[in-house]
Amino acid sequence: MAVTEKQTRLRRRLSAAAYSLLGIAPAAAAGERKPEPVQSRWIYDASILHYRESDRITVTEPQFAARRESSDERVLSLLLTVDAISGATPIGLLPATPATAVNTVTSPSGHILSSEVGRVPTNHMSDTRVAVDASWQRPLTPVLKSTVGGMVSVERDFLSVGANGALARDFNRKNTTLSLGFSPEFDVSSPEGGVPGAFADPLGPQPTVGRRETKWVLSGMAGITQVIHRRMLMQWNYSPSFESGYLNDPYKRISITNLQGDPLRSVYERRPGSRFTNSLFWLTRWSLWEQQTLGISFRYFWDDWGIRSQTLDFTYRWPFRKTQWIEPHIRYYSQSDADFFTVGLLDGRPLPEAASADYRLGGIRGVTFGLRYGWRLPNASQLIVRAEYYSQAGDSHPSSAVGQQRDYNLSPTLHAGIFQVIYTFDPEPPWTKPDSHKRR
Amino acid sequence: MAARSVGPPHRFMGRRLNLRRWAVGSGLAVFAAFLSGCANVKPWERDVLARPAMQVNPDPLIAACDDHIYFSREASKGGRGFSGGGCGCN
Repeated sequence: MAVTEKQTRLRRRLSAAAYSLLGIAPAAAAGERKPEPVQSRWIYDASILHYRESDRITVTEPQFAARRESSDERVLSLLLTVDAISGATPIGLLPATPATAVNTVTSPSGHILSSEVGRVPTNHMSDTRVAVDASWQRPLTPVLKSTVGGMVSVERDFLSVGANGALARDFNRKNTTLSLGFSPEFDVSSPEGGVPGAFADPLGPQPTVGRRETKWVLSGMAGITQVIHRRMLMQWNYSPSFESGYLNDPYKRISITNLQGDPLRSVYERRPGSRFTNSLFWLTRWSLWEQQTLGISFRYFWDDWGIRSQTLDFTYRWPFRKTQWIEPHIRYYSQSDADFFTVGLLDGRPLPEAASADYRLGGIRGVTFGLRYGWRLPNASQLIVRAEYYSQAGDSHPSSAVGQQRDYNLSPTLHAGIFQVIYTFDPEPPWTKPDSHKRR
Repeated sequence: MAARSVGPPHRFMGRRLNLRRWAVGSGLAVFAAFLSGCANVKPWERDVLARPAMQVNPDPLIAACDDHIYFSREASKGGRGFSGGGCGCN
């Protein structure tokens, strides 16, 4: 009798193991057996990021994430982000010349901007952003998953509300996954001192035209994730996005100079009222020998503002001592300038349809070098630390500069440090489950 | 009436060819053949693919922070997932 019971138990265990290998729920396959109760667990992440640019912006960003995973493949994800930003930022103006150094420029909020001869003027800013993201993933059928989510982000002068929905369908024994997604976003901009008029003079009689402006952003995504072989997978994504409404940066201006390059006055920028962007993305993960993993991604981006960019990203994860890993990271970015980008406008000439001197719309190249370290701690948690260096350079002596501006460095190289610590607490990670001990 | 295209039309067996359509079609056919040929990993052979480092986004908080940093300092967005946004920084 005891032998029969033992044999039955052994048969059930072997069946369960075989079904789990095949990806089939044993209860469903057995038919007559009751479905097992749904089990779930919470996983928590706490992160602190410190981003610091030399002589410019500093950002401290704490994040807290919680994820509830259920055995029926339902996943609830919550993310709270707080950004504290402060420091100096260029506002698009050209450096003062000896003839104009005595001039100071006043922002609508009353801030005095620096006007040192030969140096790109900057403005001091500070703000705090609080953002909440939530998403809910659930299986619709054994091969079809849906994800819906929402996002709210609040700053002193900016509000953003967004939603997203996506479907992922597995094919070919889960070797191929097709994904489709859509995300609408609505933004409200309420700049300090009011919304500046297009090409308005900040010192003129009426530089502002209202209290707030809005814009819509509609984004889509279509992707394929493909298992290439037992140790390699690839992903291809196409992401279009359409923005319409107020796309100006309300704090950016353009200098108006004479032919000698003396900045005589300035006006607020004016960008087109819509933007259509596209990006093609390719990612490969390849497990090499001894669990070392190579990650390479490439993104090609283009839009109807004339911007084209290429981004190449490389990581190599190298595990050691069973519980730790180290990962070098290199990123290269190159961008062409927008059709309406200009370093300045000439006095007496008619104003163009659109113009911006925001250096982020100019031709730039960026390089990142970083090192990441991960440690799976004995108390069911994981620690990740990373330190990275980001450098960004533009055209320091553009051909469109006039007069004395040709002698000045109009795009000083940006140097930034990124430091982040992430602590993940998983109360029941796979490596501490009771079953994994039983297998010994 | 101005001619719509410059240069002689490309022909094959007497028929006029649209080279761009042929290039896109051929590319998609090669891509589909490539995908169908490599998808033969069985469920019990997924040990390596199941490792955290082999996931498409192994460290979501690093990816989220990087997306935010580069979105605020460069003119490009999107790629990995939905386009970056929700911030007045750009």
